[in-house]
Amino acid sequence: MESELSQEQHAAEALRHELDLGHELVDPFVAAERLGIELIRFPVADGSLEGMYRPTELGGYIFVNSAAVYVRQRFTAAHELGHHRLHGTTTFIESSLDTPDDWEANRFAEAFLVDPTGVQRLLADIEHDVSSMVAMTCEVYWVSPSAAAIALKRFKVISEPELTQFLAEGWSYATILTANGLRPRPDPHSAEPVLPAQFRDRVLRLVELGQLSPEHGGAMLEVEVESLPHLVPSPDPLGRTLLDDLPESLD
Amino acid sequence: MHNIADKIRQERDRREWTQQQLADATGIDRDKIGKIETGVRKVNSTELVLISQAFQTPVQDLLRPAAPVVMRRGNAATPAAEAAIARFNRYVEDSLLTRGLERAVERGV
Repeated sequence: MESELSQEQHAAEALRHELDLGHELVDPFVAAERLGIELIRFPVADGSLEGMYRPTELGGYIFVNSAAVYVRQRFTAAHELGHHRLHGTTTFIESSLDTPDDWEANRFAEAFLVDPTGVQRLLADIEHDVSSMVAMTCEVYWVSPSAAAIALKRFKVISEPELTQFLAEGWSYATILTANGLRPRPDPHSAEPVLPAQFRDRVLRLVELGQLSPEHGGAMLEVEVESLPHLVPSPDPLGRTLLDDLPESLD
Repeated sequence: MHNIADKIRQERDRREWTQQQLADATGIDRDKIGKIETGVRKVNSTELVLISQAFQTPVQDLLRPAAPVVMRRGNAATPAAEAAIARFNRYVEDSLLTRGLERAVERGV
């Protein structure tokens, strides 16, 4: 395998190292949370939008279309993380997939999701068969066959003609795994909207402190006020301290 | 990018108003609203005041740059995509507001 890494692959490797992720399967949704990025998912049923990235002074925000198949959602999240790491201080407006920034973000996503060192170990003793190598990569790193095959081409595991022929065969995540005797991972999420946990906790805390009205908090969380968790008023700090200091027995 | 135009459209989206509803609230022709929002026609000061009154927001807020959508993947301008962008921007604004409130609470403000 070629050892030279591109700038994007270096950035992906650096992020894996920073988050101590090793060379195994990574979860880009968890990685975003650990970076302080709030990632929101909701469905865009017509598929016209897959992801968005917006930097602010307080950190980045990512949107992922939850109507997409899960391997696609993982790739989109990783792609947007690529924008955060590679282009995080630059403002882009309505870029398309055809810009150099998107190519870079795609290369980052491939290398972040499909670790070059991990693939080298994974395929070290595997016979050179494109279908089975791609299937194993899909299984271990939970990516689509096209993402796996492009990554293997990028890592110089397979050739350009092999990649072209493989992509023309039109495999899906489920079919490539099944055809190679492997079991596809079940989709862990429904298409329901998912708000970041840190945002939800913050809103509830502010409602509890009286800094946000329950109506405003409910609107932010997209739920009826009645659906908000029962909010218990904070106990008087002095009273709580005194209670905490009481011995278990007064004997 | 037309900052005021984008800001007006963003504020209208936040309220989930149609262009006709904004036209009714301001007395400005709906066609003019459409042209203002797309940057085809510049807004004049009288219209800006009427729009700010309809939104119940200070004029200077409309003069601030609209929050940009930074990166898109997909086929851009379908109604579903536009709605998703508005929803995402609304979420980011809510998040930034709550972060600000939380910082204020921490500082005892």
